[in-house]
Amino acid sequence: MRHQSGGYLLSAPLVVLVAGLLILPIGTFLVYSFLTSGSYQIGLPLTLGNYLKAFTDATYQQLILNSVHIGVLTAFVSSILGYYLAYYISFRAGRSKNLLLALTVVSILGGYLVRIYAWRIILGTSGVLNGALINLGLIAEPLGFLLFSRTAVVVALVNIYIPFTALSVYAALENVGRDQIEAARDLGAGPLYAFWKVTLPQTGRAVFTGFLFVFLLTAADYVTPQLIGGKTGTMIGVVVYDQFVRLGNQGLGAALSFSIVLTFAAVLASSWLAMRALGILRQGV
Amino acid sequence: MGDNNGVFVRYVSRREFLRKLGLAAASLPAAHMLADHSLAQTPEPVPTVTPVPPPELTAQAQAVGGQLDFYSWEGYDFLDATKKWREEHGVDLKSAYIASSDDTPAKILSPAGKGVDVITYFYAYYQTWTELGMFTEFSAEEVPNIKTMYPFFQQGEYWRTPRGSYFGVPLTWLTYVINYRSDLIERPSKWSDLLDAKFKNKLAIVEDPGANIIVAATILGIKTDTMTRKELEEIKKFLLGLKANAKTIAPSYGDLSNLLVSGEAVATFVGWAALNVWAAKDGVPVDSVEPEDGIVISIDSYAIPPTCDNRPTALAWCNLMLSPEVQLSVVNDLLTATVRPDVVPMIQDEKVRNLYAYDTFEAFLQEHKLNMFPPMETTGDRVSYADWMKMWEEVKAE
Repeated sequence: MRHQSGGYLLSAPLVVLVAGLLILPIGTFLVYSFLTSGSYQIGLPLTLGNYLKAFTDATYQQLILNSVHIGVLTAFVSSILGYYLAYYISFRAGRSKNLLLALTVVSILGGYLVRIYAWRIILGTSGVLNGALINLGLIAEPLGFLLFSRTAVVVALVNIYIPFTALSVYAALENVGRDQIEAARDLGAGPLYAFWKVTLPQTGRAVFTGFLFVFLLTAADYVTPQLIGGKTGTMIGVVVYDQFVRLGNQGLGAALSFSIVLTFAAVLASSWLAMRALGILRQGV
Repeated sequence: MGDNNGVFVRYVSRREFLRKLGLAAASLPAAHMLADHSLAQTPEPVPTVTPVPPPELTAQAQAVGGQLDFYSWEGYDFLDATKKWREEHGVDLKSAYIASSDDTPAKILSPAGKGVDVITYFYAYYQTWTELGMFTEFSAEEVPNIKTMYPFFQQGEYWRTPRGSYFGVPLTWLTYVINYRSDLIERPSKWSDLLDAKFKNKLAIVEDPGANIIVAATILGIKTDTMTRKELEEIKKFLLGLKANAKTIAPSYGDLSNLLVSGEAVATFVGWAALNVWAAKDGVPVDSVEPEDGIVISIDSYAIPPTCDNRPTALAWCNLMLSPEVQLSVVNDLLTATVRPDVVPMIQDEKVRNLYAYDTFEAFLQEHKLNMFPPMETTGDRVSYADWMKMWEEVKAE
C-alpha cells in the first residue's frame, strides 16, 4: 500500500505537468469552440455554429486541403529520402558512419528562416540554380517557376525535415538483425525482396513515426509557404491566426483548430492503413 | 468622434480604481461563462474612452520615471533618440513588438495586457478600437508638444474628442505608393495599370489586407465604412485581378523590398516610399509614384490604453515622440513623414525630404475625409471588418 502511494506521489509532478500544459489548454480550446464569440469577447450561449462554419465554408476547406497537400507531399518525400540516407549510413557508410550521423544531427541546428531564405537565393530568378543552368547553356532565360510555387515549398521543407525521418529510421535499422537479411539471401531472396520482406517491415514503425512527425509540422506550418509559396502559399494556420488575433473570434478559431486536428488524424489513419496494406507495417502494430 | 458624446464620465480615486480592478479580476472567470448571455442580446452602449483621474492629481502625485511598457512596432520605440531622456528620467523601457496592428487589441483585451503603458494605432482603427475600450483620454496640456503639429493633426477626430481632449498622439504619416523598378519598366501612373497583362508574374502584393482594401476601395470610389456586400464583391474582383498578375503575396513591406531588389517583382501593390531608399542601399533603382486614381494616406499614432499603470511616464513619452529629435528620427530612420512642420526644414537629406509632399498633403487631408475600417460586426447589407478579412482569405485561397 505504502509502495503504491509512493508511486502516485512520484508521478504527481508529471500528472500536474501534463494536466497543466496539455489537457487544460486543449480543454479550454474545446470549450471555446462551442461558445459564441466575436470582437474579442466570448461567452454563452453554446453553439455548434463554429463547427458548422469550419466544416462547410469553401474557403476553409480549400485552405485545409492546401495544408494537407503540402504536408503529405513533404512527409512522403522526406520519408523516402530520409530512409535512403539512413540506410546508407547504417549499411554502407563504413568508417564514415559516425561522421555522416554527426552531420545529419548538426544540420538540424541550422536556423529555420535562414534555410528558407537560402532556398530563395538558390531558386530565385537570378539565383544560383538558374545561373548555373544558364552558364551551362541548358536554358536561355531564367526559369520563373522554381521559386514561389508549391514545389519550392516542398523542396525547402524536405531539406529541413529529412534529418528527422533519417534519424528515426536509422535507430530502427540499427536493430535489424544482419543475420536475418543474410538468411533471406541464403534462401534465395534477391536484395530487393529481402529488403521488402525483412528490413522494411522491421523499420515500418519508424517510417510511420517520421512520416507523422513531418506531416504534423509541415501541414501546420504557414511561414514557409508565405515566404516561398507564392500565390498558392496560404495555409489554414493563417486563418486560425486571423480569427484569434485580427478578429478576436476565439470560438471559430478554436473550432477551426479542432477541425484541422480531426482532418490531420484522418490523414494519418489513412496513411497507417495504407502502410499496413503495403506490408510496411506489420500486423499488430 | 461622435461616439463620445453623452458618455457619463465620473472620476474615480486611485484606491477605488484598484479596488474595482481587483473585483473585476476576481469575477473574470465567472464573467466569461455567464456575462455573455451574451452576444445574442443587444449590447449595451460601450463607454468609448476610459475616464482617468484629472491631470492635476496624477501629475502632482507621481513623477516621470520607472518602468514603461511599450507594445508596438519594432523601431517605434526609437531607442537611440530616446536614450538620453530615458537616462535623465530613470525610465526603464520594456519593449514588446507586434507583428500586425491586430496584435494590440488581442493583447490589451486579455489578461496578458496588464501593465501595458503605450500602444500605437493606424488611424482607420480609431472607431473600432474606441468601441473596444482601447484608449484613455488626456488633455493637450499634458502633452504640450501637440500644439507644434500641423493643424490637421491637432484637430482631427482620429485623435481628439469633441470635448477637446485627446486619446491619440499622431507620430507619423505616409502615403501608399506603387514602388517600381525604374530600370526595368516605365513609370506606371495609376493603380489600375497594374491590372495590365504586361505585369503578369511581375507584381508583388503585400499581406496588409486593411491597406489593400482601403486602397482598392478608393480606386473604385467606394466608401469604406458604409461598404455594402456588392461593393465588397467589386473590391474582391479587383484584388483577384491583381492577384492574377502577382508573383507572390509578400508577408511584409521588408519582403516587398527584397522582391524588388532581387528582380522577382517589378512593381508593388501597395508600397511605401521607404522601399526606394532601402533598394538604393543595395544599388538597385526603385522609384515610387502616388497613383492619380487613388491617393491614400496612412497615419500612425500613440495612445495610452486603460491597462497603463505608469501614466505620467506614458504621457511624457507621448510628448517626447513629438520632439524634434524623435521626429527627425522618424524621418531619417523610419523614412516616414513628420507631423511637425518646423521639422521639415531640419531634414538635411534632400532625397528623404522629397519622399513626401509636405506642402500639399494638408490641403488634401482637409479636402478628403480619411477612410475608416468598418465596425467589427454589422447587420443587414453593410459589411463588417470580419467580412473584409474573410474576403481577403478568399482572395488568397482562390
